[in-house]
Amino acid sequence: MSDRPSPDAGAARDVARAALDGGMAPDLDGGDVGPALPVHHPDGSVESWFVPVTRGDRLAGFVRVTADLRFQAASAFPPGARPAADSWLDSRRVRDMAAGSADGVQVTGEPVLSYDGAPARIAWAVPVRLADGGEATVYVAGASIWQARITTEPETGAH
Amino acid sequence: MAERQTSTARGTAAAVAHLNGLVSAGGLGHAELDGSVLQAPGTAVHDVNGEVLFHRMRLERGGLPLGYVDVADHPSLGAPLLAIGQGADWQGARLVAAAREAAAERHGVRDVDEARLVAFSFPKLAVQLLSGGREVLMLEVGTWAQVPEQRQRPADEPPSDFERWSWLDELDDEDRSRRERHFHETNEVLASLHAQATGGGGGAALVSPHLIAPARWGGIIPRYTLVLTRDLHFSTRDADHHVCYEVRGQETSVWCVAASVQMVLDFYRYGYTQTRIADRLGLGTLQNPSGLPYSRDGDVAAALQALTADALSATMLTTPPFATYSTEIDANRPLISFIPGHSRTVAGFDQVISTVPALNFEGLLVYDPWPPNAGVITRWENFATQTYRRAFTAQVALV
Repeated sequence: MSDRPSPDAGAARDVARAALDGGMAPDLDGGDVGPALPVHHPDGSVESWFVPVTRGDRLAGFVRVTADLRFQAASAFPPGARPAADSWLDSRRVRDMAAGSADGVQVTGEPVLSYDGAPARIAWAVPVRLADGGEATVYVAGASIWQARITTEPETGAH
Repeated sequence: MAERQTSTARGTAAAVAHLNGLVSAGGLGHAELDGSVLQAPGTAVHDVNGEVLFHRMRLERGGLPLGYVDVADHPSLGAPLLAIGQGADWQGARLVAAAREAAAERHGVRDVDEARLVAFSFPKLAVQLLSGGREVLMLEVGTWAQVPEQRQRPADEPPSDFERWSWLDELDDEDRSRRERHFHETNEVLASLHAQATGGGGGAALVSPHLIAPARWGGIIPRYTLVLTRDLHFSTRDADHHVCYEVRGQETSVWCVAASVQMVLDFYRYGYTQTRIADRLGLGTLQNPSGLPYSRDGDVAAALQALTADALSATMLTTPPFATYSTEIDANRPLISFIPGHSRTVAGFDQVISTVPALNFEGLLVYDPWPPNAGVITRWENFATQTYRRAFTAQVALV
């Protein structure tokens, strides 16, 4: 990903701010609205925008904005379960988490904010080489880390 | 206790406007209030710290009681119209007299020169009996049990179920500021509508200022943007109980279905673990979990019934419209919602209907088990931007 925000990132943040100002998510009132991050399809195109809302060092929630810049949803973590903001927003921290997910795992590429199977299941996708030499994708969502599953039939919960 | 005159006329006007809007919308069970009259100014209800919180006003039609309406005095409550209690015969003075009687008979307390209603644990009410401006006794309305003195609690400890605490003093500054801003904005818009309808702006009076009859408001109501909204409560009587639903994070990356079933079963007080539900659905174990194949969607309805010994009657719906969700929530029933590749539950809806189509909005309150081991509450998910594959309804079987 380029470090330079695309013009749409600013527009996505504006959409999120307008939704919050309009009372769309009282649970997120008073939080800091961060820069929008693109959520990528596996093919690399932008599926939607993830606009974080933080309180201090915690992620209070986020606003999802569609690729064509419409408000999609505003989500808030329960107050007692707000994850560390950098576990969602700092790609270096995500990379470290993926690298530490199992013995012998080597990160082979940059983490990409994407999803596991379905766009609602947002997570960072990290390409890795496993201890046995096989290539795989590890997903990181806050403190949760798992390896991509391959299924023969579409599933609710995985593809 | 005499009905006090401390409620602002402006707040009452705003509440009347809001009630007319709700009745005009025809939803939320408010249609039966059509033709009723609010008996202002009602009875003042105080916070434990002594400030007036709201006024409870009797609602009548043809002299017969229909219920009561709580109208906020204190802007920290966030909106002028607080609650509508339907079916109750509210008589504040009678309650206070009963409290005085209980104080004399059970506690030997007779030297009382003032009595007032207090939200000792908002919205739970008590009657505070005073002498010389000092409290001599506080009795919970209905049970007439003595409410204990206020105790010191750690800041992060919630009040217990029978405890005196100040709703105003426990608001944090951020929440207070947000609520007061919303209160003043709402009050201004609604009071302005009321003035147009009743001639309060200087024109000839059109309708009685406390009448709930939107048809009499002529062309004013259609310009009013209606907001229909509801989330799950303990029962369908919204005025009596607060929100009654909790999010459960999925315990593996693929157990969104198990977590969704768990949320619904928790609502109905079935305390199953997620592993037990996953086992019933054939979703493997914590060490070797799997998702639910599309070909087995119907297993969700079967599991809801089996795990409740058929006390719940479950139905699977395909590509359900928004009305499915709003109807179920109005009936106080959560739903499981499948979108492509994921499952969540729905516990509320919000619908804005305006004569300006651009302002229309349909949203769902989604309790999402994602991310794993956390979950998130989405308020609101724009119905127009999501693909809804299945919905599962569950209804308690009645005899």
